[in-house]
Amino acid sequence: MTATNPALTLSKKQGDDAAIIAVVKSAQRGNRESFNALVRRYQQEVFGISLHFFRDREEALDASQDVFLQVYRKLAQFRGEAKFGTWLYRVTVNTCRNRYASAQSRRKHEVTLTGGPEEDENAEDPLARLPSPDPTPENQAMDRDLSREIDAALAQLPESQRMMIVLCDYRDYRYDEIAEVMDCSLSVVKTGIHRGRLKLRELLRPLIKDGKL
Amino acid sequence: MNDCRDVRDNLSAWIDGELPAAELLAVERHLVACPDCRAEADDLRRVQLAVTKMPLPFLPRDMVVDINRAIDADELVARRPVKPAWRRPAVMGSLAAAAMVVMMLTYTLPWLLVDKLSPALDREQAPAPAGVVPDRTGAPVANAGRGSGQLTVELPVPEPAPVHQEEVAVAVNAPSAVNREGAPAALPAAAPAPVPAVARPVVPAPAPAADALPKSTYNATDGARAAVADEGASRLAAPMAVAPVSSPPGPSAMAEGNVVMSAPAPGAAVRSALLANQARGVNIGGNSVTAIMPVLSLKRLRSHVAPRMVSTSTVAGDSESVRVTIPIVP
Repeated sequence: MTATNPALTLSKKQGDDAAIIAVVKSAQRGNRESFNALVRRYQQEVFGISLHFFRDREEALDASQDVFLQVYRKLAQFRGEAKFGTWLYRVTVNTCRNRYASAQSRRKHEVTLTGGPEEDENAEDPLARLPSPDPTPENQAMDRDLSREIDAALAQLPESQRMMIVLCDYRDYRYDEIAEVMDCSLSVVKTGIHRGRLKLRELLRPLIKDGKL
Repeated sequence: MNDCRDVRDNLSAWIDGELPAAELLAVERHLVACPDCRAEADDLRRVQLAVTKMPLPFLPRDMVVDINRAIDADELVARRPVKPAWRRPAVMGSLAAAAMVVMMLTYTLPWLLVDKLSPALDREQAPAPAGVVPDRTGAPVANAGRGSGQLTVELPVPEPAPVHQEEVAVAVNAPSAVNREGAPAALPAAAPAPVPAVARPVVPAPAPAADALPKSTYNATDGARAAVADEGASRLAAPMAVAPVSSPPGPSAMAEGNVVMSAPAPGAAVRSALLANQARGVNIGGNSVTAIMPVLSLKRLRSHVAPRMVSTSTVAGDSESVRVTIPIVP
């Protein structure tokens, strides 16, 4: 019996598209173990994107769980025309956007009910919820404070620009893949990334001057 | 593409290796020659590298267990048998609301339409001998015919109980029939008999008042009594008087009986109705009765006298009163 379960052969570092497609097809046939392998392979990245979107760990965790639930429901609709990762990130961005819109609507309603913005003034500083750096040697390359400042600067970008830069610089996506994930044109991606970087440059200018970047 | 502005717009794409070959060469040539654009390109590259080196966020736990739990719960919900459409809460609510509306209409519509229906029924019944015309709900409407003695008597919907529960004395000034319940004997062929009513034939009796009615019409069992008379009897002296027999004819009789005068009635009957509704200065003229009464009593008056018979005018210096004029039988 030489046949192997594709789910067991999918490692995190494996970039082989063929292996991922095999696992996806197995999951589409209802193999829960294969689906779990996909979750393990992509959960960190989905969580990272969600965290950059929400800047709240719990919200990002809930959103990530929601993303994989959506993926499980819609897996049969994935035809393989795009990379699975691209499709997954598209689901991630859409899920984050939907959750954000719902939260905004709910918050607006709550503010109306409570009668004012006083609660917002007392809201917890989102910067205090920045993720702890991963204590792996790979991530110790960057100073924790520096990382926090960059993350704070990223948080000040408009949502679409932030997500484009995260996908491009953080996830190393090509512009056409970003356009597919974000459901927009290539020129919008090009402009969005450039404007986002210009704004980041302004926000991080002191660090650049000090030679910390 | 030697313009600095064009080059700077393409710097991020150049850094990311996303420029087509021709534009790539143009940008690189310009950067060699332009220190400002080169400095901006350096800054942008630093920013890009800084974001690239950002650490991965720390995932606090393996999400597989939570996700599988969520999927199981989701599938459990999906497997739950779907209720038939009519048992879903929204549909049930709609059905209940519709049922309530139907019930409300069933009980209120006859009373809302009673004044409007009466004239139409009068016209329909005019050529025929007068009789009881049940309305749509089965509430009997006694029609006494057209002319000076035209009379429509509308009685409340009877309870589905023994018929002799209410004492009614009827005196009619017309060769007509006044009847309770939908009695087949006095009805057109199509008229239904909603309850086993006792048909009381037409009442052209000489007695003007309820007290003068024949004893034979008195039902000792339940105290009910109706004014009935032989078919050949002469016209009643009073063209109209309808009142519960248990009360003496007069204001209270007109006020408390569920009777609506929808045609000119004797002056005395109209006067009684007015007095029962706090009218003052009642003046019986040749063809009408005038009086002054509180505005608030008008509504109650109109439950005894058809609104179309009551004409009103203001009273100078008294905004809370109104002058009413009601036509009567000369």
